[in-house]
Amino acid sequence: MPGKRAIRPLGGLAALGALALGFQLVAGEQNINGAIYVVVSTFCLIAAVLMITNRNPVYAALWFAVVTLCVCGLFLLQSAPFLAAASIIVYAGAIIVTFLFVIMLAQQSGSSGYDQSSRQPLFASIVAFTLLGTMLMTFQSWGEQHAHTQVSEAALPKTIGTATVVHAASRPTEKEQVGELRGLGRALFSDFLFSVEIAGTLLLIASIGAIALAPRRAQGTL
Amino acid sequence: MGFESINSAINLVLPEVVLIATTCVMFLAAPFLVAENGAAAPGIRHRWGALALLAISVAGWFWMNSGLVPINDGPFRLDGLSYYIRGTTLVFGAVISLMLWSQVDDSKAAECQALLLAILAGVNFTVAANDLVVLFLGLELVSIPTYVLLALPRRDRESQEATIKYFLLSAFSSAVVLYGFALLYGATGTTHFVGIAQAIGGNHSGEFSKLLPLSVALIVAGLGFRVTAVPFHFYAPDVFQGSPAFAAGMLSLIPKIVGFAALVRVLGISVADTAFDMNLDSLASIVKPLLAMLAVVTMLLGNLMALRQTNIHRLMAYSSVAHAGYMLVGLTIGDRGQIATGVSAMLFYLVAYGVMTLGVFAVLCAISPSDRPIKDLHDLNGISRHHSAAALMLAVFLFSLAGLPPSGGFLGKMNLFLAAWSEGTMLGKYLAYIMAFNAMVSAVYYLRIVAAVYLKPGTGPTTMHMSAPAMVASVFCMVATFAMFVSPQAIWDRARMKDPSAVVVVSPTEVKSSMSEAIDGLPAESPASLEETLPSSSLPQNIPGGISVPGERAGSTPSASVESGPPDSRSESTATTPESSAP
Amino acid sequence: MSSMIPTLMTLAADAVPAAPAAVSVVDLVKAQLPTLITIGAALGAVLGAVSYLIYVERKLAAFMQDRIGPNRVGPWGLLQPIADGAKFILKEDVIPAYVDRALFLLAPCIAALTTMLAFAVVPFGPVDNAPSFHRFVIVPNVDIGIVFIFAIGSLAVYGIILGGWASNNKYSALGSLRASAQVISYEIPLGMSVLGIALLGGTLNLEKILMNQAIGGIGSWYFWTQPLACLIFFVAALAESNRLPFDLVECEQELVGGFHTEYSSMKFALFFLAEYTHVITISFLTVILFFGGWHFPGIAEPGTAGFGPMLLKLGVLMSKVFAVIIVIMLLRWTIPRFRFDQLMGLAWKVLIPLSMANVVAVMTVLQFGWSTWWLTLTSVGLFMAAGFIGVQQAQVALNQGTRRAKSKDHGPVAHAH
Repeated sequence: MPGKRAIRPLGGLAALGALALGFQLVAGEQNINGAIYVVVSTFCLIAAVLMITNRNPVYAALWFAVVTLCVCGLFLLQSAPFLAAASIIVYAGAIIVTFLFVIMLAQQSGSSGYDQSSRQPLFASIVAFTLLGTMLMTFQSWGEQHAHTQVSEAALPKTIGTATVVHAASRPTEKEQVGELRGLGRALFSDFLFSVEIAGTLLLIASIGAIALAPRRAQGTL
Repeated sequence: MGFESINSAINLVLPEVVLIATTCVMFLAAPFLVAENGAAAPGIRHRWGALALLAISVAGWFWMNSGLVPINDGPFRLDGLSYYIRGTTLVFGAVISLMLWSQVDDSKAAECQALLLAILAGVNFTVAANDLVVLFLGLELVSIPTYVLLALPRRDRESQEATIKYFLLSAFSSAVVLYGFALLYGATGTTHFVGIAQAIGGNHSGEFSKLLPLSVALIVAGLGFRVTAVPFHFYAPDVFQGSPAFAAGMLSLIPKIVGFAALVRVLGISVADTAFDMNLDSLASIVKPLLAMLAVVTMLLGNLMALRQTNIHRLMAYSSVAHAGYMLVGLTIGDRGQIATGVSAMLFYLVAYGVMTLGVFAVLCAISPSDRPIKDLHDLNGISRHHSAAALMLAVFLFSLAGLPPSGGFLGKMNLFLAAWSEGTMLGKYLAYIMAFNAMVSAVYYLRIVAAVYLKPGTGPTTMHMSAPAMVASVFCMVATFAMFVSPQAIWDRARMKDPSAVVVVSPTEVKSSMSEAIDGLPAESPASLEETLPSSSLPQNIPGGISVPGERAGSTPSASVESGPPDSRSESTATTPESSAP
Repeated sequence: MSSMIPTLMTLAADAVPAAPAAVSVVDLVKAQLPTLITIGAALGAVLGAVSYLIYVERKLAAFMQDRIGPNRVGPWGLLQPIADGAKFILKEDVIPAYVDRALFLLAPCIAALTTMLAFAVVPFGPVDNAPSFHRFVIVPNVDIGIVFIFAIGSLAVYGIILGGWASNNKYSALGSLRASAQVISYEIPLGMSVLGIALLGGTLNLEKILMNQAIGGIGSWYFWTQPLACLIFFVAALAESNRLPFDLVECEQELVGGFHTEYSSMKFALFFLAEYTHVITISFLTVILFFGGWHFPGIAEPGTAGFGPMLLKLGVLMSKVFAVIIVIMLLRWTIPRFRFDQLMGLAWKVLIPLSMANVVAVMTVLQFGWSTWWLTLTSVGLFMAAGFIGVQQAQVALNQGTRRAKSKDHGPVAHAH
C-alpha cells in the first residue's frame, strides 16, 4: 500500500510532464490557439468517454460536468466568452447539480440492475459505430473541401439571397471585436428577437407545466 | 434586417400572438379559480373550453386576413405552405379542443386547453419559420406542452409510462434534429433559410457541401420520430395505448402536421429558393432514396402490425404509422408528378387523414364512459345497438381511412397514387404499386372494426350518456369527410399553393434589372464583394412567381409579380427591399 | 482570424505576438511573467489576509460576547493564526472508512479552487496608471467580468455537494442537499441585482463599472441610485458564502458539522479557506459595484498618476473592503439563523421579485430618459412595500394560527372549505 501511495505523486508529475511535452509538440507546429484547442478537446473527448462508460451515476454526472467545462473552453477559443460563462452557469452550475441531487436522493444504495445492462448491446453498437464512422468520414471529406476557408468569413456571409442581407444587425461593426458582449446583445434583440420571445414562452410553459404536474399538497407527497 | 422589418414582423404572426396571449391569460387566471385542495367549481371547464375556442376563432380571423410575404429577410415567411398549414392547424385545434372538453377534470381544464393553444402556436411558428432557430423553437413549442398534456389529465401507471416514453424519445429526436441543424449551419454559415439557400447555391455551384447529406439525413431521422416513420415509430403504440383518447388523437395528427411541415420547409430549401420545390436543386434531392425507403418500410410495417392488434389505440397507432408512410410517398415525389405534385397531394392527404383519424378518436371520446374508457376492440362489439349515430360515424371514418369512396380518404389516396404514378420514373411507379397494395391490406383491419361494431353481439357500454362537445367534433369530422369528396376544390387549390394561371414568365433581363436595382439599394459598404458573391448560378432559374394569394384575392390579382408577391400592404419586408445594415 | 482575439488569450493579450510563430513553453512563461507575478501576489495577500481575518473574527466575537478572545500566543494573541495554521498542517490526516476516496479528496480542492478562481477578474487596486510589472488584476479587461464571477461561483456548489455525498454520512448528505438548494436559489437574486448596474453603466466589465463611478464623483456611486440592489446583492452573496445568518449548511445544532463533518486537518482548512476567500471576494465586489471602488472624493480621484496616489487608492479600497468585512462579521453575531423554509422564502418570495422590480424600474427610467435619482425613490418605495406586505403576511399568519388554535378546541370548523 505505501508503495502505491508513493507512486501517485510521481504519476501526477509524469502526467504534467506529458502535458507540457504535448503542449510543446503542438505549440511547435501551430500557434498557441491550436495547442490549447488540442489539449481541451482531447480532454473533452476523454471525459465524454468516461461519462458514458462509468457505471456509477454520480461519477458519470461529474464527467458530464467536466465535458461541459471543456466545451466552454472551446467556446472561449471561438471568441464566445458569454456563451461559455452562460453554459457554465446553466449546465455545470444548475442542471448537473440537479442531476446529482436526484441521483443522491434516489439511489442511495448504488445503481439498480436495470441501469447496468443494455437490452440489445450488439445492435446498438453496430448502429452507433456505423453512425460514428459515417460522421467521421463526412467531417474528414468536408475538412478537405474547406481546408482554406476562413472561419470568420464562413460564419458571417455578407450577401445572401438576391441581394438580401439576412441577420444584418448580428454582424459586428467596425469598432467592436468578434465575441464582444454588445454584439451578442444586439443580435439577440434585433435579428433573433422573435426567437428570444418564443424561447421565453417555451420556458414559461415548461415551468408552469412542471408546477401543474407536481402533486398538490392536499394529495400528499409534497 | 432593420428595425422596421422587426416591428412589422409581429404582423406576420398575429394568430400565434393571440394563441400565446390566451395561453398566458389562462395560466395566470386558472390557479385563482382552483381551491387549495385542488377542486374547482363544477362546470368551469365549459368556460375554459369556450375561451379556447374563442381564441382559436380570433386567431382564425387573423389568419384569414393575413397576406402572403413569401421570401424575406425576417424571421417569418408566409407563403402558400404557411397559409395552408396554419389554417389546417387552427381547424383541427378547435376539433381537439372539443374532444378534450369533457375528458379532463374541471380543475385541470384551463391548463389543458392552454397547453393545446400553445401546441397550435408551435405548429404555426414552425411552418412560418424563415430561420432554423425559429423552426426548432416552434418544434419544441409543440413537444414540451405535449409532454405536460399527456401527463396532466390522468395519474395512473399507464399514462405515466406513456408520458415518460414519449418524453424521452421526443427529447432524443429533438437532439438529433438539432444536431442536423447544427451541421446545416456549419455547412452554410447561417441559420436563415434565404441565406442557406444562397450558400448552397452560391458557394459551390452545382456541388453540395459534403456536410449537407449528413445533416439532412439527421434532420429526416429526427423529424421521422415526429411523423412516426418506421425505424422511429416504436414509441407510438405504447404511448397511444396509455393516453386518453383525445391525447391519442392529438398525437396521431399534430406531430405529423408539424413534422411534415418542417420537412417540407427544410428539404424544400433549394438553390433558387422558390416557395418549395423539391427539385434537383433542393436538399430533398440529396435524401430522395432515403425518403423512398422510409416510405415503403413505414407503409408496410404499419399495416402489417396493425393487422395483429386488439387494442383500438394500438391499432390506430399502427394505422397512423401506415398513413405516415403514404404521406412520405408524397414527400418523396416532391414537386414532380404530372397530374398532381407529390407535396400538394401530401398536404391534401394530411387534411383528409386529420379529419378521419380525429373523427375516430372523437367518437371514442364521445361514447366512452368516464370511468371506463374504451380501449379494447371487443368493447366496441355491437355498439351500433346503443349508439347508432356514433356507430355510423365510426363506420364512415373507418371507410375513409381504408380509402373507400365516397370519402376524403379515397380522394387523398388517389391524389398520392396519381402523383407517384405520374412522376415518370420506375421508383414512382413502384411506390404507387406498394401504396395500392397497402391500401388493400389496411382495409382488412378497418373493416374488422366495422364488423365488430355492427355484426357482433354487444357487450359494449350501456350508458347512453354521450359527451356533447365530442359529438360536435365527430359530426364536424364526418361532414368534412364527405365534403372533401364532394367538393375538394377549395382545399386542393390551397394545397397546390400554385395557381398555374398566376405564373408569370419573367425574362432574364427583367430579373437582372430588378437585382441591380436591389444592389443599388444596398448600403455602400462593399459593392465589390457583393458582385463577387452573386455568381450567375444563383440567378433564380425557378422564378417564385407562382405564389398566388389564396381566397378571393387569387381571382382578383391573378398575376402576382415576382418581387412583392401579393400587392399587400406588408410588402416592405419582402425580398428585394434590403434594409440598412446599420443598427 | 487575426482579428479574433480569443478571450483566453487576454490572459496576456499584450504579450502574445500578433503573428504567432513557433512558441515554446519557455517563451510562453516569459510572456506570462506579469500575470504570474500578479497571481502570486494576489494569492499570497489573500491567504495571509484569511489567516488574520480569522483572528479578527475571533477578537470581534469575543468583543461582542464580552470576552477577551485569543491572547496567549504572541502579543495580544497576534501569532495565533500562525499557530492555527501549524496545527492544521501537523494534525493527522484522517480519511474515514467507507468514504468515496477520490471525491472525498476532490471536494475541498474544488471549494478552494473556485473561490480563488473567481478572484481572477476582481481589480484589487487602481488598474489605470498601474506600474507595468504589477497591474492589480489578474485577468484585465474581461468583457463579461461579473458573469464570469457568477459562473465560477456556481461551480462552488460542487465542493459542498461532493464533500457531503462522499463522506457517506447522513449529516453531511443533509448539509450538502441544503447547500445546493440554497446556493442555486440565491444565485438568481445575486445575478438579477447586478443587472441594474449593468444597464446603468452599459457594461459588465468590473474595471469599467469602477471607472464609471470614479469619473462621475461620489454622487454617481451606484449605492445612491441602487440601494435596494445593493441590499439584495449583499444578502444573496452572504447566503452564497454560507455564513452565519445563512449557515444552514453546517449548523451545529442540527447537522453536527454539515457537509464537512468528516473532514479534518488540511482538508478542513481548505473549506475554511474557501469560505473566507469568498467573504473577501464579495466584499471586494460590494465595494467595486456599489461604493466606487478606490474612489473617494478629495483623497483618491481618477486621473492622478504616480506611486503616491496609487498607494492612496489602494489604501482607500482596502479600508472600504475591510469595513464591509467587519460588517459581515458583526452580522454573524447579530442576526440569528434562519429556518430552512424562511431561507427559501426569502430568496423566492422576497429577493427575486424585488430584484425583478428593480430591473424593470431601471429599464423604465433608461427608456424614458428620466433622471436616475428616480431610482433611489423607487428603491425606497419597493423596500417599504415589501416590508408592508411582509408585516401584513405575518399578521395574517398570526391570526390564522390563533384561529386554528381556537378551532382545535371547538372541533373541525376551519376545514369546511
